Amino acid sequence: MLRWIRIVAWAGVAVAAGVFVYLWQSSSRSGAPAAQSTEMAPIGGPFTLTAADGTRFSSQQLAGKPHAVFFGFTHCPDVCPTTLARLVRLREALGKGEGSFEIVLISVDPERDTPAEMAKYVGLFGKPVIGLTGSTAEIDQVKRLFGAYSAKAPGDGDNYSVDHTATVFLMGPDGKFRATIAPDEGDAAAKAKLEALTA
Amino acid sequence: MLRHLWIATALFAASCSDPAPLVTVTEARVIATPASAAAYFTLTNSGGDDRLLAVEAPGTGEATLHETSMDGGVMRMRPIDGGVEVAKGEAVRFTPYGKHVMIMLNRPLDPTKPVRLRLTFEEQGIVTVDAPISSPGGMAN
Repeated sequence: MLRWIRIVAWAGVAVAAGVFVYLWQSSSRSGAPAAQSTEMAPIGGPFTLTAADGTRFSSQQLAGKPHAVFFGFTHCPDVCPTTLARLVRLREALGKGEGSFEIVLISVDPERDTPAEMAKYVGLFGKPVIGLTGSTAEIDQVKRLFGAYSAKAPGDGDNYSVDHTATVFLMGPDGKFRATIAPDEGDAAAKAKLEALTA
Repeated sequence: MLRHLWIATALFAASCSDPAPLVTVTEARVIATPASAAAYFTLTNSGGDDRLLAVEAPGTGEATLHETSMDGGVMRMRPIDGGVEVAKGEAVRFTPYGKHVMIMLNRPLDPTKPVRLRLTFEEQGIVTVDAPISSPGGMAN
């Protein structure tokens, strides 16, 4: 009888040891991606582009203000106005005023998007939206900073479309990346992120 | 007797053939920016199968059937080849982030005047509809 109890007890010890080793290994495994992510290049950084009024615009001018950055272009009739209008609508819904966060549109079509075109486009929203364009090299640099993608799609003459990242990048007042809003994310989730951004 | 049988057969055959398509266009609207515009609508087919081949917006600019797709956060907008099927009894919605008519404007639209859209269907022919314009700022409100 006593022998059986001893066997069961040792078996229990073996199982406990196995569980311990398993947990220890899986916790060290789950730690690995976190270590990797700290090595990733940060999203955002200093840049200088041209504002819709033709003056130079430095990212320094956004210092101290949360901002939502969206890449788009003025010949974009569907996703770009829908996304910008949504940001304007959510900023109003937050009820913290137009200065609670800046909405920044960066052109991925510098060939067609002159400052004057940008001015007409951002003016459509009836609320403050910062429109920025620049040389192809300047735009490429900002795209790299944000890890954003764009490429001209096949089209005739001037009637081409531009494939581009449609994710909104939420940046804190310190210029550091906070979160993204995906195009297919619901308004409630997007509003909660903007609430946190402007807290 | 035989004659009656022929008539009955002909009537039966007629009743079996596909009904004529009857597509109605509702919720037509245009979102306009200075350089381009997107037209959206809902097609409801209470008749037989049909296919939307093309949409024109005379006097505004070149209009193309387009579809937006998302792939890993990247937006792609492409012409739709071969038109859009509107099957018997079905509704097809053109909406933001999805199917739309892209209009490359010759000049900015007058927001007070609706845009006349001419939709060409394979079976039904041409259907016209007037779509009111809203600016993206209007969408925001």
